[in-house]
Amino acid sequence: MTHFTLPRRRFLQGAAAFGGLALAGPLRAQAAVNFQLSWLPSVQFGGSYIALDKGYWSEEGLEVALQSGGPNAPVEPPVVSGTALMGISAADYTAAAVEQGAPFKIIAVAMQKNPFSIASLPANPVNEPKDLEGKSIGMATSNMPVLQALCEINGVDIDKIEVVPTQYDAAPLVSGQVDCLLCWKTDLPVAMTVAGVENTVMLLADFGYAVHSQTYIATEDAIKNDRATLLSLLKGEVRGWQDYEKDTDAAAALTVEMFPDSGLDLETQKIQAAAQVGLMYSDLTESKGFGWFTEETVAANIETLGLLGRTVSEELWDRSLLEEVHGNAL
Amino acid sequence: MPSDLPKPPDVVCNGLRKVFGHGAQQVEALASTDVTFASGTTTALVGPSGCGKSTLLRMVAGLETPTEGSVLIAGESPRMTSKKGTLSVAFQDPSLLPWRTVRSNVALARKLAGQPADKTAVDDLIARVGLAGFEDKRPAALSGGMRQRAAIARCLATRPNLLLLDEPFGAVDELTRRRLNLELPRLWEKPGATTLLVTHSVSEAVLLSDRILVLSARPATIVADIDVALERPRTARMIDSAAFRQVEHEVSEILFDNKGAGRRFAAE
Amino acid sequence: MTLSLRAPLMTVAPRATMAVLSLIGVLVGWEILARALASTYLLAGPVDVTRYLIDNSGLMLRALSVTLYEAMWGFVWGNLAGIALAAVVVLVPRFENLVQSLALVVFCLPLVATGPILRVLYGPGLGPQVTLAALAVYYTTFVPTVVGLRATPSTWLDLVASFGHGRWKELTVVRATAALPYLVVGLQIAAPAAFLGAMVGEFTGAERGMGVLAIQAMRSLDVQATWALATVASLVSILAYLVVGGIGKYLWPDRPSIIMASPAQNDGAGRGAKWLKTCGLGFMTLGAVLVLWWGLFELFDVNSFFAKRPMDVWSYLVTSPKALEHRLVLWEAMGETMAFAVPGYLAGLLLGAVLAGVFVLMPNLAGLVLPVSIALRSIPIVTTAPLIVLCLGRGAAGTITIVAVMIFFPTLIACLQGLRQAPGQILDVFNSFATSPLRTLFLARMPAMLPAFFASARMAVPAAILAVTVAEWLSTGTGIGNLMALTTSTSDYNMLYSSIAAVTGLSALAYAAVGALERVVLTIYAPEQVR
Repeated sequence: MTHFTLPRRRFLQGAAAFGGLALAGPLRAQAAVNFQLSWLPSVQFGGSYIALDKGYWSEEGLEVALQSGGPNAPVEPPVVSGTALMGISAADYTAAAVEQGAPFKIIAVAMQKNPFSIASLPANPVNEPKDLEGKSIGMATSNMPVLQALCEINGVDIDKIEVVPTQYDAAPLVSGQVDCLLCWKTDLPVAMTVAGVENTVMLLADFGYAVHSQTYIATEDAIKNDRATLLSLLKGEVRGWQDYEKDTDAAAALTVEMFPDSGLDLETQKIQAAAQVGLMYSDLTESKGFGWFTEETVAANIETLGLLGRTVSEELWDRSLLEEVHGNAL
Repeated sequence: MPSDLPKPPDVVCNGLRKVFGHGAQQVEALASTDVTFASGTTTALVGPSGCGKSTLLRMVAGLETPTEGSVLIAGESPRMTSKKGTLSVAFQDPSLLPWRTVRSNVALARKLAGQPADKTAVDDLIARVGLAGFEDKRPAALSGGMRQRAAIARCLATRPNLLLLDEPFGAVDELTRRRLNLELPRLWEKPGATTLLVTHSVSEAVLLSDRILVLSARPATIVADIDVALERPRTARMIDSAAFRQVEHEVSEILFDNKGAGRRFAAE
Repeated sequence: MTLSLRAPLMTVAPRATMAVLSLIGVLVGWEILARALASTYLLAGPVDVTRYLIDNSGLMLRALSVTLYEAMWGFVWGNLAGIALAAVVVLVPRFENLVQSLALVVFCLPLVATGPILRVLYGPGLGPQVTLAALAVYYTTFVPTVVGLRATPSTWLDLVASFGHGRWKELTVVRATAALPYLVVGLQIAAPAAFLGAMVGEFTGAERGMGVLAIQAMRSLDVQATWALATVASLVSILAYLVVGGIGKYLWPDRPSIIMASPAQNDGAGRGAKWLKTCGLGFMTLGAVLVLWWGLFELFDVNSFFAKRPMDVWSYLVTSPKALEHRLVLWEAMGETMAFAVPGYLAGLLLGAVLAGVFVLMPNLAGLVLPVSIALRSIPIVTTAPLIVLCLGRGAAGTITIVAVMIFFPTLIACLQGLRQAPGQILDVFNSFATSPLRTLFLARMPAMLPAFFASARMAVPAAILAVTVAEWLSTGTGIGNLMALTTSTSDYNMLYSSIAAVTGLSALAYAAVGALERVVLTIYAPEQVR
């Protein structure tokens, strides 16, 4: 088992500083909780790392183990089976899982704006969806619904786009095999920038593609029967992300430090950390708190999800925990 | 067999020597040897196992290149003779192609020798080695003795006038061997071919040959050259004759007893 | 140092020289190509790779040690399982056919799909990595070990029996000794396979290891890192292959050559009865698989959200109102996959056989290329697939090439061994007629090579499926490989299990079909191998 080991010194500092808040102090038994992330370690989960590192969870009496994801690591099953109390998914994947009978609720939304983008080179840029016509786009065929939805929302003729199935890699664009790529704003474009390749990024979310991403999911059963733990978990998480916003460079540095074996590059992580801010924080989160969502954003999501072939109702979202968290925290 | 074939060749070995390997691992298989095998005679090479008798035969067949010296078959090199298809080799292992039928195995020799296909001759030959009715069987369906018969048929299919037999009956049981010894030589004795026979069996050597060369252990040298003055064709009854026993005894004496050769054999 | 190859015609010194020469050739060609393609972010040359490795030696060593650790345990467990299964087959001949078929079915399970399932079952940790490594090796150990256990001279067995000992003693004392050289051959193939399994395992949510770095590097356009990882993974795999082979050669100098011989059906039944028996075995295997599948899931009480049972798949594909639609999706994906897998498979086999023929005619060329080929055969597919697609594009060419490459090297090596092995003194017979090498090749060597060729063709079936699904999953995003990955992320587990069942069933059937063809060929071309 490869859990994170929290540096002891930090833990003690944290415990001492907040000792007054915790009833039983550092001796209080810590409840072990698994939190399933959706990808390999990177600053994408910077807020969680901060929460862990600064002991925000241990203050809540939780001993949190962050479980990595990966290209072949599903998020939903561990959450369904209870191995993980909470997981990070996205509205479309969650909707799909619910369709298959998983009793999930989205309890908070880290990425208000979906990170899906079209990356292109400045010489042959894609600045708006219309520009896609007559171009070739590299993407996984599994993401076809995303492109279809974008085209439908913006009245683009999808037949005029040449889809080239590619692996998730910037090389096809850089080497001229395709005109543009469907990718996340926060990874391939960042990699290109670091490699010195100038690029143009068009965020799908700016053109009507409203799908909550990096959403926190939990089962109905957990929400009902393990509510206190979930609340504590969310509280720590929210504090972590509040810190993240204040200093993304520090978050990047912490990520690289915590995962020396993941081959992370500090510069890349810093740029990615900064690029993420625009997706995660908005006037809405500013006023209501991190992870917030409203009836309007949910309605927009339901509409886009419909275009993606997922029929969902607003029942999929449950803001009650978040309300409690922010009610308490603010 | 037609008698319009050219005269069987003389085989002349001049200072023939063979060394295997390099440097420290060098092994001399055959010490420098001069010997001539006269046209139309059958010569048996006997000697302890692992001595160079097969090496000598293989050099005559052109399968090994001599380290020193030369082999001349009717004045030509072994390779030239091979190309003409007038030379045939039979081995201890019948070496039939398992995926071909008996007929096709026998016919293969003619094909390789560049001779026209002749189904009648092939079937006739198969019948004469005693395999009539087995033409369309594959080797796997035959007994060891039958396979060896097929191999002999293949060996003779090109009507060679130089036969090189490397223990062709070495792997069959004693009874079968006796029968093959008596039956098969008739097939090549009549047309007349120069024949070299490598064998372990003294009685086989006496039964089949006109002349027996006894070789010593490695490096092989010829330690005795014995004439076998028995009339042809040889028969089963001859084996019990005094003359036969006499030659057999003479060869065995040299092979297993006294003097230099004996000591060297003992060291084997 | 010498390479542990079988090249009886060449002495040690020229062979080593040849190996070094060909290595230098490859390096120079690689560097030139890399420089020519410098602006494309596709290829990093040996100079850049070396520089990267020096700069990041600590990171690489840590990742390598993690992956090696996983691979080692997978190697141990997988081989133990393979040996134990082989022992069962020999001890209880009654179960032989069933055990053989079950072992094959498990071997045919697609790594792409078993990975996430194992991750869910194990939770965090090294479980999936070790298990995938074990799954990647046990079959290639099992097959030669069974052959080896059977290859015991009957006189040895009589000797044991004459002392009044039973099967167990026979197995542990006599058969085990006779099987050791065969086992070594299996272990040698297993060594690089274990490394591959561990790397794929790391794609299922590991925190460290070569697999993790590989993904990270590809995503961050870090060409140097990508190629450095591929280089290290390849070198380690090659080294593992050579070391295991070297140890084996040291302990048992004379190694058996045909090792993947098809299991013989040793009963004297007529043709009709044989067919019936084969069908019976097929149904028995299917039944056993279904019972095991259902039983294990029930036993461990795995959540049915993602752990679908046979009944779920049946209703998904057959009885549900949307069954037709589901079957169509599956059918289409399988079709896409087969359109790449079949040509790649055939091309790889053909190329391997033809090139083996060329090498026999030009032994010097073989000395130059063979060491490289043996090395390349060990390179993990997860590193090559993306690189080949990167270089050849995502169309048919790239994927077919990946499959062909996976098949090509083992076939070449098996065929070369087969070509060298014309039985008895047949080559001497040909030689005594001064037959040209080309003619000898066609009339004697090629037919004699067929058993090795077919053994290789049979083992290549699961390899081709592995290659094509990995390529589809990591690189092209098409076909059944992609469908399996996609259904994992969209929680469409019914489709995932249907895909697994389809892929596994298809490769097991194809394997059996090639095996049947092989037996027909063997009865003609190598009857001594079919008892």
